[in-house]
Amino acid sequence: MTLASLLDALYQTPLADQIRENEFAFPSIETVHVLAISLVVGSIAVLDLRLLGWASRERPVSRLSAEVLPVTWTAFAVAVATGLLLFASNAPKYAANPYFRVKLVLILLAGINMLVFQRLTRRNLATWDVEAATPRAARIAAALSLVAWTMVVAAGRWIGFTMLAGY
Amino acid sequence: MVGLLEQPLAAVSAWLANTSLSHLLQNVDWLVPAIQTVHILGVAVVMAAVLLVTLGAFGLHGRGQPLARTVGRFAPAVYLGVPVLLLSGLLMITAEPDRALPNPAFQIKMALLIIALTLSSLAARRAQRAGRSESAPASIGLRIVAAVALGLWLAVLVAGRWIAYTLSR
Repeated sequence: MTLASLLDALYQTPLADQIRENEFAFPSIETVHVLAISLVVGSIAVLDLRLLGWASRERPVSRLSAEVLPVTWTAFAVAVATGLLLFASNAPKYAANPYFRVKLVLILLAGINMLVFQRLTRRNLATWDVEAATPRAARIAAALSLVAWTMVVAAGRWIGFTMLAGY
Repeated sequence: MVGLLEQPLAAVSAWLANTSLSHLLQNVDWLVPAIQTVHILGVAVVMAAVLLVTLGAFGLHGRGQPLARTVGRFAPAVYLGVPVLLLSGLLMITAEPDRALPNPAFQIKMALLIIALTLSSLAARRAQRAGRSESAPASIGLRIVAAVALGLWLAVLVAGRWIAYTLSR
């Protein structure tokens, strides 16, 4: 099965048809998507600002992560689920949209950045957990994360403007 | 909304659409999406801050420290985020006044925003008075106000997205 026929099959599903036909479906799903992305970006920024040493300096990084990351991951799961539904409603056109592709790459890069941080930089977290000043690698990861997520939001908005369903 | 406001709103709308700033915003393709991006980033800052403080009132965030401290940590985010939202919002209105001003979704959004801001600052002040030193749980009353305020912020977001889908006139 080629990608094109797969996208077409997705487009033909009754669910995708419902999202296209029901005038409340798309805006409702999109609203939840925007809320979810807002919470992903906002909550991750809380951690990034701590890692940069700009805020929450008195909170141990481990403790702040444990409290904030469940919010981030829940919101991310909702963003992916609603994103898939929006994508299904017009799969071939979204797949061909350059901003959509850029957005997926940016999310992938944000994920790689996070994995590198978790696997390498966080390994010796115990030595700097309570310090306001964090290692350079942690600050770089935090800055990259803020840039990547800002660009994800921008790419998302540009998808809206180039698909012109309603912006 | 109120019939009384219809005429002046239309006049403001017509005047705004003729300003050179409005023309600039209409003619440079990337400006409006860029401003909307800033607006959503502002939404991200405010929503995350309000959510985390509300979770704090329910003992689910900032455990082991007084609620007043959690409020103190996130209040600046709201004080910074709200002006960014107002400014980017004003620019969006200037770009397309007819899309927003006469739009019921926009009018409802503004009404909800005023109530949300009032309740949130009320809750924040109560939390800061309640306990500066002790990490005692928030009172039931404070929890209710905080939860209602969070619900209102959600409603502001929903109404905001609905502006794009509500045909004006």
